[in-house]
Amino acid sequence: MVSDQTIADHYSQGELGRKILNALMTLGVDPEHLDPDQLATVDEFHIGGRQATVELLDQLDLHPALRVLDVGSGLGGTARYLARRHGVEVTGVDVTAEYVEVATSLTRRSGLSKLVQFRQASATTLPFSDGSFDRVCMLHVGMNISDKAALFAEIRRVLVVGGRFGIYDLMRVGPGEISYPVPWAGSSATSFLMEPHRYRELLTQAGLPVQTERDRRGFGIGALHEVRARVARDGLPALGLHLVMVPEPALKIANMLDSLERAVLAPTEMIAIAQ
Amino acid sequence: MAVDLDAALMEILACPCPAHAQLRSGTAADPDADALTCTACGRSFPVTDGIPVLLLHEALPGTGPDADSGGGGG
Repeated sequence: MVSDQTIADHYSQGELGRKILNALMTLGVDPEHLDPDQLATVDEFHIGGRQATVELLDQLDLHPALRVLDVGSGLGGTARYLARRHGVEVTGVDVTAEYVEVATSLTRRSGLSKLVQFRQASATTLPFSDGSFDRVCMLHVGMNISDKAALFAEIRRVLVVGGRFGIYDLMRVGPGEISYPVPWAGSSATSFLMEPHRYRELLTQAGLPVQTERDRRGFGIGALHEVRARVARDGLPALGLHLVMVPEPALKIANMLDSLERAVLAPTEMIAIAQ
Repeated sequence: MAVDLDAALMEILACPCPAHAQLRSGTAADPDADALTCTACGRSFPVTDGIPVLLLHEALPGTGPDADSGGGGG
């Protein structure tokens, strides 16, 4: 079994916070008074970035004072967007210490610490009481978790009855090999891809039947081509995902795009409701 | 320095152990330590720069159900 630490090691680099602050200062931004929207090019670590976040969260029926858990919160982009746009209280968990540290720092600098907090924790042993949250979201996380039955059981446990769970994961939609590295894994040893029907089965078994599902392959291919065209035209931006996706960001993107274009993988949304 | 976490957050925070029991500030040996301790399994978790590390395998050595054998994790 792959340990949490192996996954955390894939995402750790040791100087991410400093690189992001340097990039912000290059852009003339005061690092002590950040506008969270200025971070969207670096803190939304999933295909389609902010637009994908907005479209997933719009299906969660959010309103102020709800308690939301973001599983695999990364640098906290989705968590800060949730708090700012929807006025909800957000807790983010991530297994990577460096991400939790940078997410906490960027949130403080954005003045959102009262609404948004982060904990270093494993998604399959969540450090919360039963029924602690009204909503849970999870963006590009399941690919790193081998025991999805345990993951979904934990998410069901911390949700209230009737609570919504929004997923945006890369799922296996057809046969074929995947070339590594990809953004979530250096090799197949830490990549746990599953078909949408298996997600639905495991979610149902956990008491989280899926209400809606949406294949986002076309959207994902378009978004990745757009990123590549922008980099080819303008070069790498000061503040971009290449700061996070080290080493070999271009190769990881190319391999992921190839798996989408061959219809081996597809970014897929699912909305489940806790029974 | 004692751990000072938001009261609302302390209410929902629980140990990642199967009991998911409440956490209290400090450790059994030092109530003012920068740590959170489970009221069921006894594991103590470090709080680094205000961020609790609530991973079973990162529980402080000598705390929790395996304390007698010197292990701290789960």
